[in-house]
Amino acid sequence: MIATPRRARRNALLLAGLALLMYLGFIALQYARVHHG
Amino acid sequence: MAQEHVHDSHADHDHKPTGITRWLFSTNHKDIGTMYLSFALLMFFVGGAMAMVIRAELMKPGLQFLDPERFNQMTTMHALVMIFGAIMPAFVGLANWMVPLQVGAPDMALPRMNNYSFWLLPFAFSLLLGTWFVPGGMPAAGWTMYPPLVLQTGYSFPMMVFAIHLMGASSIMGAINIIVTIMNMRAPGMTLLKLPLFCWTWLITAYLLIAVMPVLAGAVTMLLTDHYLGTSFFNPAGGGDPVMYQHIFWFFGHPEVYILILPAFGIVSEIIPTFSRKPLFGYDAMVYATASIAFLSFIVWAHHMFTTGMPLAGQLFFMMSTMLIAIPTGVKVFNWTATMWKGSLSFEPPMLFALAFLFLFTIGGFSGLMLAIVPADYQYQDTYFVVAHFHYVLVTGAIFAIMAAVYYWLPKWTGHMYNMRVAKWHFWLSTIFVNVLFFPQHFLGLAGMPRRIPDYNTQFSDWNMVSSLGGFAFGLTQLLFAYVVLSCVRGGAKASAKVWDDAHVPGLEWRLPSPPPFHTHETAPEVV
Repeated sequence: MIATPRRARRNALLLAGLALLMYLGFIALQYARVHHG
Repeated sequence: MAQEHVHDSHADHDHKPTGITRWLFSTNHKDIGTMYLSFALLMFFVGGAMAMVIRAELMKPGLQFLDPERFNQMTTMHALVMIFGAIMPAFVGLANWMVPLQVGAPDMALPRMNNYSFWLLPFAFSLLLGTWFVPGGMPAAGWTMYPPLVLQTGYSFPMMVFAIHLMGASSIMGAINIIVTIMNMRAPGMTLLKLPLFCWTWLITAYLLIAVMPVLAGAVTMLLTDHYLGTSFFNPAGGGDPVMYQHIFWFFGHPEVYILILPAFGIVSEIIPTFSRKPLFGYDAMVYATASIAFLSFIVWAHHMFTTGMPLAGQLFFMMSTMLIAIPTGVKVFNWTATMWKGSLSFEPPMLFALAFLFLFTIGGFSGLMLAIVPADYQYQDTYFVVAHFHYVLVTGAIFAIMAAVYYWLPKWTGHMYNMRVAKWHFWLSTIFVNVLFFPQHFLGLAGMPRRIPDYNTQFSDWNMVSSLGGFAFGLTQLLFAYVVLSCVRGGAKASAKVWDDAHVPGLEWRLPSPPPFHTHETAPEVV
């Protein structure tokens, strides 16, 4: 098997980070809206 | 001796693990693709059975088989199962099979994560379908899960939320895998603007998935904390707002419907050139149109909520942005038509389904434009017109494209040709009955029949009877599909490497034998 390029692993981590940011970001925005809106 | 050695190592390329572990621990993109597609077919019949129950109930006015609560459970679960269990896994299965073959990669970039992505799904759907057995029954507040209604459902509520988290995690991991495979694993010479359109549309879809699935997960997490932890994200008594849930849900929901259709565009863009024996007309324009549709999908969400009360400027903005989508979509429809112009057309089952897609998806697109007009939407909102619209988009759009793709690549996957005669019967009966099923729902909606009701005024009786009869016939016809696919897996005439021999088939997948060996492209192919 050809090894997965290191760039692919790094990009996968970046994309997972983006997903986590969207998840927590939306909840945080709502929290801020309810409590300080 | 040397020759024997070469022969042995060649045989190793096709060495498959045996028994159940082949599937449980699989890191092979072809096996995982097969599992996704099998799972999607199973869920298509589960969701289809629910649709048959819905149409049986609606065949006549009055309550026939279900109490209203169970009817609402059926519509909710039909949608969740079809969207998250049938269409999305079918597209991911097609991507698993075809993306590495088309970009010249030996497998997906992250094969173990690929295994995990798939195996989350059976757990997610066991949990979701398991709500049948809990007190209060299955989720019944609609697939949109609006609060406060959804917060009043019983034990099914946390199960549904957890199932959606699992599906979301599965989709996000699948999307990450597809992006990094396409971005980092392409064969030398396969520049981005040489990618097959199926890969392009999936690349863009995968970005949409990563952007919006976490938003859905966030929305249902907030529902969960509102219900169990005393927060009030969507509770006005504590400073929250239930309409805000609708904004968040549709910020996910509208890109989601493009997630369900963009890979279909890619499939049709592969099939029409093949059976027109011409290259795709306007390749670059197709790529840019797909990207434009993806961008626009983020700025149209409130067209699902025109009647919730919104400033005029908001209504105008969302109406205009929605109508803008017709431009790149029109580019696509005209490009497909131009591809066929003066082509040497032939009408094998994949082409028949792609052509039906072209006509019928466009009907769904036009009714979408009608729904985008704010004053008209005040009439259409929550009627059967909306049901007709999205079933044209999702059944004759997404599902017809999936069937076209299966008929196109099935000989490549199995090494056998399928029964063309039965496949053509499947096409014609499906196309006739899907219109008998869904076209009258336009009339019902325009006459004012609301969605999500088990009983209706007697003025709606006739078209409901017609629609139900069409529905039963369409449902039965799908057994032909299962028969064609399963009998092709078991055997049949040998398929050649190019499968559609005299057709114009430029993709890398056609350079491999049918069926391709277990491991392919171990040495990257040259792309000129």
